[in-house]
Amino acid sequence: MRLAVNATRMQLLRLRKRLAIVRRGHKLLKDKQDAMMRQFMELVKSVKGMRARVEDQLQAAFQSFLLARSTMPDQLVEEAICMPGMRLSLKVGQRQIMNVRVPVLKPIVEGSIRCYGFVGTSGDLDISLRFLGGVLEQSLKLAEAEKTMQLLADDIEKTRRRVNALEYTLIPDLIETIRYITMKLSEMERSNLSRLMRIKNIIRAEE
Amino acid sequence: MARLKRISGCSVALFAVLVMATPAFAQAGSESSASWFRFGPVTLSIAGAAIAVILSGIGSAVGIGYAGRASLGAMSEGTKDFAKYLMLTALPGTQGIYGFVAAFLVLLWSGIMAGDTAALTVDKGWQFFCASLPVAFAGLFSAIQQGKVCASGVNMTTKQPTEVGKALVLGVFVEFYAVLGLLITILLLISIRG
Amino acid sequence: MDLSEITFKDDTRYAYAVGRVRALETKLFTRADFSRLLEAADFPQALRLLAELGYPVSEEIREYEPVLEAEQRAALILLDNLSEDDGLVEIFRRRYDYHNLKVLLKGKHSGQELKRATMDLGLVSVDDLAEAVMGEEVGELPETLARAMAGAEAAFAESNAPQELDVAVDKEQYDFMSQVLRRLENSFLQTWLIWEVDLQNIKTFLRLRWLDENVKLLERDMLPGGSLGTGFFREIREEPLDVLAQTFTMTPYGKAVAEGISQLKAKKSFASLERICDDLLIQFLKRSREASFGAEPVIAYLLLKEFEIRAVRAVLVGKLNDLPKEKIRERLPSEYV
Repeated sequence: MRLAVNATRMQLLRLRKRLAIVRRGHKLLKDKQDAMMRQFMELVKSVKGMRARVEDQLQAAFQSFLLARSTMPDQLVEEAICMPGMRLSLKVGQRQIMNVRVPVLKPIVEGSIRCYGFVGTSGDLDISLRFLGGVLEQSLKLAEAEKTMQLLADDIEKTRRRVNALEYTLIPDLIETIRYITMKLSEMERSNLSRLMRIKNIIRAEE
Repeated sequence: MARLKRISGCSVALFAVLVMATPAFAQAGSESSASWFRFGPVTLSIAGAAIAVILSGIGSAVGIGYAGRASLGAMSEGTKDFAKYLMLTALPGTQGIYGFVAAFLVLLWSGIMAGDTAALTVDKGWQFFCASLPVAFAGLFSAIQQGKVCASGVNMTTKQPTEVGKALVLGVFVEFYAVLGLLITILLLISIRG
Repeated sequence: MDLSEITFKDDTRYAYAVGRVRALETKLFTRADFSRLLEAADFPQALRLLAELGYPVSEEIREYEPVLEAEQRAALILLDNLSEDDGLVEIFRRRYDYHNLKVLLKGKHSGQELKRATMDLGLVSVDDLAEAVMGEEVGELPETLARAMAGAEAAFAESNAPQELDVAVDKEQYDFMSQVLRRLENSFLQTWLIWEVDLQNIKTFLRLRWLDENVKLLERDMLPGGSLGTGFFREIREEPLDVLAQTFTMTPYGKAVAEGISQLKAKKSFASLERICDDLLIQFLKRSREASFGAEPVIAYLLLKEFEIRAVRAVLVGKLNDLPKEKIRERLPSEYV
């Protein structure tokens, strides 16, 4: 769509300058988008692996827990794990990927995950808790990666919208407007010229 | 265990009192017939009969007690073989019967029953007393041990009802020594009478 | 004490009790019973079978834990009725007091209401115990419980680790049990306790090794009163697992430990090791058949019943979670299956 501007030479110059800037911006944005896509794909691949690992570990933990429960009365299980010995605090930091601010999670673990005595408890409970302890750190990493992925995806989306806007709207519009102004100007020039020639002819005839 | 020691302790003490007291009272008795505690031949014979019944009776009672309690325990949980348990429980009861037979023979052959004790001397009285000891002591100890064997037999029968025969045979082995005691007592009594 | 030599005292006060226990023993689950239970198609059918086999399953019950608890309670009541020694009843019911004490202590220190984890099978009511734990009327408490509580509080104050509560109470419990059994001069039960403590310590040791936890803290987690002292474990604590299997050959547990370690390495699970230890104890308890009089058969029955209840729980949990029956069978004591 043509921009609503006056078809003057001044405007044409301005539009030409703007087109050059927009083209450069478009190229930059496009590069950024590609770079982000690349990072995003890498992230997706690693998250997929991480998620599979976390899920495997969780399943192993639940299986061991089931085994443990099948040898202990419910109350004993409850007694063993009712008071956790491990304290977990989370430090949330930030880092930037392609100008996107993503969170960095750092768990601070105190104490041991085994919080019960050995008498009357099954060894499989230890194994289950050990799996869970390992899974904790990994699932935090997973959460971090997935959040990063989400933020990155948002940003890619935004960038792509911009790129598209530039590519399919602004640049064509500018080109169209420039062409229109150019044509208008040359039209005006031509009409001016013919008017001048006509005037010249009239004057020449009167002489 | 404690009970067994107590029982044998009592019987030995009773025996000791009799042995130590007799000579003194036998002499005293010949001088003063008014003494309330006279150890004449009749008294000795009666003591023998009494000891035979008392000791073998105690043995049987204790033995049946063991086997009976084991049977009741088993039956309280709904075990049905009452007949089998009855045999095993009754087995330690025979010693009491042996004691009774021996006592009866002592009373009969010493003439106490017939009221004819004129021929009885202090020596004879002692003989009757001693003759009744084998059945008394054999009965006492064998009945208690038999009670234990039978209680074990009851327990085994509970688990393997078809094996009751073996339990009975082993119980009868103990019985054998009570029978020997009775046999010797009867032989002794026959020789005293003759 | 020589572990192979056990003398049974002829305690004829128990003639009735033993007779009754022998009859009850015939009702303990056999291999065939467990096979039937394993063949059950699903959980409700397993429950129905259990009702047939004499467990108190009522129509409306859909959970297994109340059934098993009722059966456990019945076994304890039987012990109450049959035992002629108060000490025996005490050690086997006191276990629940110690359990409740642990629960209440943990509840107190983590600010939770944990009534659901208590068991009312003990000798002291949970409410009385709770009052004592909260600092009121400690004087009413039996000496051993008061001691356990004080020890646990002291250990917890030092380290702030909840397992210290468990460890202190467990130690006091086993100390108390061995004291009572010594007083009763019951060589069978004393030996049983030594086996139980030894096997528990072996399991603890292997669990510490498997978890790569600080084996230096060995002394803290070991129970007192076994035939293998902490010195024994301290000496072997650095040995690799394969060598460990050999070090137990001189003990009665040699074969079981070797088998347990190889299973542990193959399956990465303690289930087999625990089952093998249970097998050993069950075999040991079955030696009480030699006794016709005495408390031994009565206690052995209670403990065998507890093993049975545990095995039934394993089957039911397995059925509830649709585990394949081979998987469940692995967990049952081979004395049964």
